[in-house]
Amino acid sequence: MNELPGNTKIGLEVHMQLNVGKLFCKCGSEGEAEKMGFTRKLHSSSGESGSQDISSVFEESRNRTFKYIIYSNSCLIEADEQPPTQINDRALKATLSMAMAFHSSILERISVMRKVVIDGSNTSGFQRTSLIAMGGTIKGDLAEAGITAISLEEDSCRKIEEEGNMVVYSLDRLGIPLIEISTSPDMKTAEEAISIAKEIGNRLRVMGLLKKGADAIRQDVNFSMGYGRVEIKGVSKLSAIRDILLNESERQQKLSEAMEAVMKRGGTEKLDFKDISSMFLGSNSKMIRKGLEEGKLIYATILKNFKGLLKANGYRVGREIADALKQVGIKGVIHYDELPAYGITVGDRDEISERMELKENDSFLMLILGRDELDIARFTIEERIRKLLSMDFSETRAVLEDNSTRYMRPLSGSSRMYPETDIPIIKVHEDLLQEASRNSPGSMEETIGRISEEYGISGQDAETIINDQKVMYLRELANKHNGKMISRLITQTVPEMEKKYGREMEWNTIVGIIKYCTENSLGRYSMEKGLHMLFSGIPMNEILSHKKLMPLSEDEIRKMMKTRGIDKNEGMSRTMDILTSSTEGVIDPSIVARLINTKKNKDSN
Amino acid sequence: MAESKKPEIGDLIEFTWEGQRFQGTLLSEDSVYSNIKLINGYNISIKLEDYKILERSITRTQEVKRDMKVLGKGKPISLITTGGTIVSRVDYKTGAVFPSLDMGELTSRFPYMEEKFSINRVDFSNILSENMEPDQWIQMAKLVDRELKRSEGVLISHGTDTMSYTASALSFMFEKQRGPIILVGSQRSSDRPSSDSYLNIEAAVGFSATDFGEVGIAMHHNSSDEKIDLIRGARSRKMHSTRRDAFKAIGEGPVGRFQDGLVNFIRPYIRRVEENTISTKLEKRVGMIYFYPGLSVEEMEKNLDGKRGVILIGTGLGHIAIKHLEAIKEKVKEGMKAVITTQCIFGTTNLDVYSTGRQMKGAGIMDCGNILPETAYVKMMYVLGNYDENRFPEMMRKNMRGEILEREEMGVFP
Repeated sequence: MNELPGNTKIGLEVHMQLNVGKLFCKCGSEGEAEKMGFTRKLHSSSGESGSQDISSVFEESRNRTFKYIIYSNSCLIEADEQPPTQINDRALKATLSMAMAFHSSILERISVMRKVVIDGSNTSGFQRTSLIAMGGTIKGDLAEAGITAISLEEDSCRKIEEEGNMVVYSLDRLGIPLIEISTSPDMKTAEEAISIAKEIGNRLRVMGLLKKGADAIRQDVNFSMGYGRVEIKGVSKLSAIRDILLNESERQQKLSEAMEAVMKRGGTEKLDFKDISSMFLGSNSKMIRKGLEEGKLIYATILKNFKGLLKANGYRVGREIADALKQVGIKGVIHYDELPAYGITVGDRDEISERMELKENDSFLMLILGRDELDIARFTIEERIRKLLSMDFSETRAVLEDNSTRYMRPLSGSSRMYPETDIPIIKVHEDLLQEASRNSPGSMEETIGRISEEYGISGQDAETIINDQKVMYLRELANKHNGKMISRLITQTVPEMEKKYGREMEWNTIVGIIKYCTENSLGRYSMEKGLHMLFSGIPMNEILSHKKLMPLSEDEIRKMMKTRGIDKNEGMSRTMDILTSSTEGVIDPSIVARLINTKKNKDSN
Repeated sequence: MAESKKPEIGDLIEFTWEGQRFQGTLLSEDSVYSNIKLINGYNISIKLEDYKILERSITRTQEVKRDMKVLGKGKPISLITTGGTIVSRVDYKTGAVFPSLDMGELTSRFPYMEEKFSINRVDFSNILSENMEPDQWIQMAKLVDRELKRSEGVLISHGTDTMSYTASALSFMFEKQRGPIILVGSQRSSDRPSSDSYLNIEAAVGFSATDFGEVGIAMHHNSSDEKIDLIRGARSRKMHSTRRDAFKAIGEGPVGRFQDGLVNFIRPYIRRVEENTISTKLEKRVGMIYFYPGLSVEEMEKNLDGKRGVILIGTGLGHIAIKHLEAIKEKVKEGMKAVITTQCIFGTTNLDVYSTGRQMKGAGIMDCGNILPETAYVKMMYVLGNYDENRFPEMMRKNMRGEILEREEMGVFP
C-alpha cells in the first residue's frame, strides 16, 4: 500500500522539552548519573470519581519493580520524597507565549492535575500536567489544524533497560517541562501532519527555549481509518511518520479482513485449554524441553475459525495475540500457521490437530506456561480477540525500529486524571499575560527576516542561530555593528572549537568571555584566543586576568619582530607562529601583515 | 433539552467558553468560578455562562466501603485506625482530607493476608496526629488493652507527625503486654500510586503477629520499597518532614526488619506475656521548654508557671544560660521537677563536664542520659502520675521501656 485510505484522519500531540530547568523543583536541565538509586513499586489507586483507570489496572497486574538511578539534576522531588514547589515561571510564560502565537484561548485559572501512569516512568505514579489553553489554529505549509489543547506537563523518566520484572529508569529527564500541543484530527496525509508538526516546532525554536537533544521534540500520532483511534506513541523523527502510518493502515486493513473472515465463518468460540504436555515428553524442541524442565506445561486451545489468519497471506493475527500476551509477561506462544518451527514437526502439528479435534476452518494456539499463568493468559487472549472482532481497534501502540507498531495498552481514560492537591490553583495575572505577549513567537520566516535585519547578518546565519537555539546569546552579545562578527563566532568559531577540542563548554562561560572582550573593546582575535583558552581547560578567572586577552600594540609587535630577527621572507603564517609562541598577548594578524609589507617596501626602496 | 435551572454539583453540562463548545461534569463552584471536569479528564476553573444541563447527577455511588470490619481467617489481629496520611483520601470536591482504609483493598494487594490473619478493624477517631492530646493517648491505651485481650497483636494506623509521642505514651502506660503494639504511618498518602502505606501496613501486620512484647513503629528503612524497620517506640523520632524513611531509631538500630514477607529480629526485645499490666494515669501539668540564645527570663518564668515538671531542651551536653537558673531554682524548691535533655537529639546529656552544667545541678536540674526530649516529656507525665515524688529521680533515670541507652555503639549515628 502506498497511499493512506481516503477516510484517514490524523491528529498530533507534539511534546517539546523546554530548556528552563525543571517544572516543579529547582533542578537544572542537565545532570550526571550518581552511584545511588532506589527501587519502588506502584499501585493503582482510584481517581476522584472513585473508578480506576483501565490502563492502570492493566499495568498493576504486571507487578513490576522499578529501579531509579539518581542524577545530579534530581532532588527529593523527583524521588517522590518531597511535595512539588511552585510551577516554573519561565515555563509557564513560554507556554502562554506559544498559546498566543496560535491564537489559542488561555484559561484564567490553571489547575495542575495528576495523570496516573504506573508503568514506573514517574516515581509518583502520576504525571503532573495542566491545561493552559484551548482552541486556535496552526497553519502549516500544506494544511491547517485546529488546536484542542495546549498543556504544560512534566517529562517522565528515561528508560534505561528492562529485564524480567525489573525496569530501570534514570531521573535526569523527570520533571523537565514539556509543552504539549494537541491538534484536532484535521490532517489526511503524512505530509500534512509533518507540515503542522514542523510549524509547531519552529515556533518554539524561534523562542529559543527548546532543550538540546534528539528527543527534545517527540510526537504521538493519532490515526484512524474507520476502526477507532490508534494512538501511536513516541515518534521522534518526522520523516518516519509516512512509513509508520502506511504500515499501520495496512495492519488495520488486513486485520479487518481477517476479522470479517472469522465472522463469515460463523464467529469464534471460548478458549478451551488442554494440557498436552504428555505428547512432548520425548520432544526434540529445545523451547519445549526448556519449558518442561522449568516445570511449565504445554497447553493448547482451538481458535475456532481462525485457520489461515494467524500468519499467512499477509494476515498476522498471531502477532496481535503474542503482543498482548507479552504485555502481561507471557512469552512462548506458538500457533498453527508457524509450524513446523522451533523443533516442532509437521507430524507434531497434525497430532495436536487430531487430539484437539480441529475442524476445517480451525486453528490452534500452543502456550508454554506455568500452571498459575493459565488464567491470565486465557483472559488476555479472549479479551484481545473480543476487541478485534468488535472492529474497534482503538488502543495505544508503540513504534518499533522498523516503523511498525506494537500493542502497548488500552487507550487511557479520563478517570486517570485527578487534581494535584499539593499545588493551589494558579491565577494567570494580567502582567504575566503581557510579558508572555511580548515574547510570543512569530513564524520562522518573520523571525529570520527580523534578526538578519536587526544584526545585519545573512538570512542563512539567522536561521542557523535560531535552529541552534542560540538567539538569546546573539541578543545578549551583538548589536547592529558587531552582529556579523558575533554571528560568525556563534555559527562557526564555537562549533569549530567544539570539534577541535572534542568537548562542549557551558554557553554562559562562552558568553562571559565574549562579553568581557566587547566591554573592554577587545576585538575578534582576543575573543578567539579567549575561547581557545576556555576550550583547552583554563579556568575563567585565569583567562580574564593578567591581561592575557590584551592585544599587543603595533610598536610592541614591531619590537618583537626585530628582537626575534624575523626576516621579510619569513612569510605570514611562519611569522605569526613565531610571534604567538613568544608572547602571552594577543596579536592582530592584520598588523603583522601591514608590518611585513612596510618592511618589504622599505627594503625595496 | 435546554434547562434554565442552575446546574448542580455532579451534573453533566454542555457549555460555551471563548466561542468553543465543551462538555464536562460540574465539580464545585464558588461565587465566581465553576470547577468543571472536562471529558478529557482535565479540570478547568472558569466563569460559567452559556450552558445547558445534559444529564442530572445521579447520587454519587462512590462511598467508601467502611462496612467490612473483619477480614480473613487466620491469626486475629486488631487494626485501630486514627486519621493521618496513611488512611487519608482527598475529597476532590471540597479538598478536605477524610479517612479511608478499605480493608478489602488492603488485603486484595496481599492475597496471603486473608489466609494468615483475621484482621479486625476498630475505628478510634478521625483525628490528625497534630491534634492528638494526652487524653487521646489514655483513651487509646484503654482501647489497645481491650483489643489485646482478643487479638494476638494490635496495629494502629497513625498520622506521622506525633506518632513517636503516642508510641512513647503507650510504651510507658503498658508495663507488660499480651502482644505487639505496632504503630504504622505513611509519608505519601494512599491515593498516590507511589504510596508507602501498602508496604508499611503489610510489614506492620507481619510485626503484630510476632512475640514482640513492646510498642514499635513500622516505617520504611530507606527510600526503596524493600525493607521496613521496626523501631522501638521510646527511641523513635521523625527526623525528616517528607521522606519515607523519616523515622529513625535514635542511638540504636531498629529492633526488627520486614523484607520479602518475612520478619527478622535484629536486636534483643522483651517478649509478650500472658496478661497486660497497664496504668493510664498521666500528670498533664508537664511542659517542654526549648532553650535558645535570647530566651528571656520572663519567658522562662511564664513557661514554668503552674507546672509540676518541665523538660528543658538545652544545647550540647544539656546546657541553658545561667541567667535562668534562679527562676528554676525557686520553682524546684517549691517542688517542681526539672529535667534536661539535648537539642542535639543524638548523644547523652551530662551536667558534670562544664561549670554551667554543675551550676544547673545546683539549681536542682537533673539529667537522665540520652533520653529523647519528647520521650522524656511523656515519661515525666507517667512517672509523676504513678510514683511517689521522692522516687522521681530514681525512676526518671531508670531505663523502663528501652528509652535510655546504657551504652551507645559506634556506627548508629547517621
